[in-house]
Amino acid sequence: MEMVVLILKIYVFGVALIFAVYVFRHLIFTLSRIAGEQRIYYQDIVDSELPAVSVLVPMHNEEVVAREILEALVCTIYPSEKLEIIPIMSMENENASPKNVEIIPIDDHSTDGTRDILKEYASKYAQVRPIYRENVQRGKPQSLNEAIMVAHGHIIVVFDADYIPPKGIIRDLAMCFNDPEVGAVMGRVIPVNTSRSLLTRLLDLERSSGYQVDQQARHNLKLLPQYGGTVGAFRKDVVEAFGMFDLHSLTEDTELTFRLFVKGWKVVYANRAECYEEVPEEWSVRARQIKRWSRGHNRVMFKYILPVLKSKYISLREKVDGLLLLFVYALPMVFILAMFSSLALFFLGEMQLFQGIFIFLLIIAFNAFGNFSPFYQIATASFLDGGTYRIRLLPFLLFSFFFNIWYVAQGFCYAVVDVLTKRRTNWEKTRRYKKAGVKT
Amino acid sequence: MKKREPEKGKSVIYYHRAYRKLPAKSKAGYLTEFFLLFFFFVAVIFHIFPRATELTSYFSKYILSFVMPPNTLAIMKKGFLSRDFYMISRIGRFPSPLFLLVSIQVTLAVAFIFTQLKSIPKSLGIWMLYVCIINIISCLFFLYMPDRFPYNIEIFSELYMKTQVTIWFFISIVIPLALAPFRTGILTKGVIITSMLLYSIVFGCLRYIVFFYILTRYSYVFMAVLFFALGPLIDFVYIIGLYSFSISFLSVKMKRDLIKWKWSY
Repeated sequence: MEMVVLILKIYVFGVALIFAVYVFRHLIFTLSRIAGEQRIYYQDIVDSELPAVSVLVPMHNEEVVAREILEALVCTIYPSEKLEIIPIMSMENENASPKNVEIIPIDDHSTDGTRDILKEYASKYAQVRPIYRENVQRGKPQSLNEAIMVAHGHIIVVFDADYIPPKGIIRDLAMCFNDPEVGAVMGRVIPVNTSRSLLTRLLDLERSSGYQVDQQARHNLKLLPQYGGTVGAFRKDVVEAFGMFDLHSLTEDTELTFRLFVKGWKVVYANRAECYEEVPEEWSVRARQIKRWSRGHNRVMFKYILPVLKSKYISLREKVDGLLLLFVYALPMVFILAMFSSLALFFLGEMQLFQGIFIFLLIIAFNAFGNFSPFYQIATASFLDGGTYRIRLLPFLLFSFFFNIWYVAQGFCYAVVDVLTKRRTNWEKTRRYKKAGVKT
Repeated sequence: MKKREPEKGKSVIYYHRAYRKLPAKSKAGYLTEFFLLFFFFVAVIFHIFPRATELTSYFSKYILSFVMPPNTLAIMKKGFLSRDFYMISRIGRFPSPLFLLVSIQVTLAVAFIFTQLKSIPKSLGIWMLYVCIINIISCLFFLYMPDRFPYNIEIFSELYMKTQVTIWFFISIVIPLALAPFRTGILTKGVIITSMLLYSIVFGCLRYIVFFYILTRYSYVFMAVLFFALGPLIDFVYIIGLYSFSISFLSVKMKRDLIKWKWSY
């Protein structure tokens, strides 16, 4: 029994230390973002040639949101003063689109009015070239692969259908590819339906922390900013060279991030390239979303631990950050086991000597998992965003804490089974809330 | 009706949120501020915790004497970190098998309601599930191995007081770190930490009374739930609550103060 107690104590203590590493990492991120030198993005470059861009918008039953995103995309402009110095036909392909931006909405087995909306826009705008996918496997990676094969642009920009791209965002995203080291770019995502419920408000805090501090700090410190699969762009030829997206991946964005890094490409973050999105308004929808992210992310973790360690293109600092990023969705499972270990130690009468470590574990875990970032990082992000009263919602993150732990741990278990049994996974779309015809 | 004046345009253009920041401070500046706050509050807590636990114990005894005979409540003195601390003790009670069976059934019903009812948010349901799992484990333990339960009220009280003191020390470490990114005087930061400590002492005292009452009146079976679900984790909810209030006030104050914000470098 003594050996069991010792093992349990070592385990809980070890977990507390791992969480402490995360807390320290995020303190560095927070200080870098709020008071460190900011590594600005490429948006201020004015004398570069803009590359040809294909905008991909995967859609499945998106009649509620399709019109708004297509309208926003056809109104997208390059700044007029730059249009004069940038050749509109900058592509080498003979079949190139007459514009340097083509919009490819991908209708993925829609059964609602999405097809009619796409046809309407395709007939009105030459740069809108929809792809209608039927009787083939559904899913975002499948859609992206099919669209990449017919896209003319050298740069692929991806938006989810519920996003509302501002006018200058494509230029902002495309500009960084003048740097030959850059393989992908990620813009900032901002919830548009923040005021709908407590959940949307908490998700707003989470997004703020994740982008305003986390991504920007990683960009500042030249670590590993993450390509997030939407409001982002990548080089078409690089993805083609990788053999396209893994058809069974649930988080093709995380996978692309690590593929790029291990092959020596850089992912950059554009904090100024802001785009609005709809976040889940119901806990059940959020549960499915976060479980899918966890499942996909953990599968990427199992696949990329060794490549990250072995890559000759990544510095030691980047490797450490990459591993911490890979492990982030495995931590809730580790934490649950630590809680059960603590409970066992409690009933074994070991709490007297152990309570200090236990409190440390809880506090550290809560700090690290308020919403995948410590409370001070979230407060800092909201502070930088000019948020005032919404910062007071921080203590409500207790609800997210247990919620995240539970569903992310479930996703981890699914990922383990996926890897062991090599089972295939189906893409699940996140529910949209927008009412048809209602302008946001 | 007042005539609308022609738009003049913005008199001030504020920094965009994307790359605005606060003025940089040297590493030495951060470390000095942190260690000043840390050492000051650790010294204060080390100095006052015997007195704080003594006050907590006497106040708790006073309140509890309204609901239980005063002569059954004893104030005890124990050692912690080379100093004394105070606590109250009383004879506790073990749960009867019937009480445990009823408790298991009620817990299962609560777990079912909170996880199945669609009107209850999933986040709250999962929290309740966590509480219920701990309670069921505890009930099963008392049902099959009551003689192996390693605690009594005295040990619980000791554990509680030590936990409170440990939390006070943690506040002195975590909050100076959490306040480090923000530009406000060290005195203001000191006031924020002091308010948290005072709140923690008062809240800790009130919770001690409630816990003591539950354990002596309804048996030891709830000890695990009280410790794991309503213990240190709840402390950090109000600590973060006070922290968030402070930062929100600071944010309101600084929002449009161009002089205090910097841009990129």
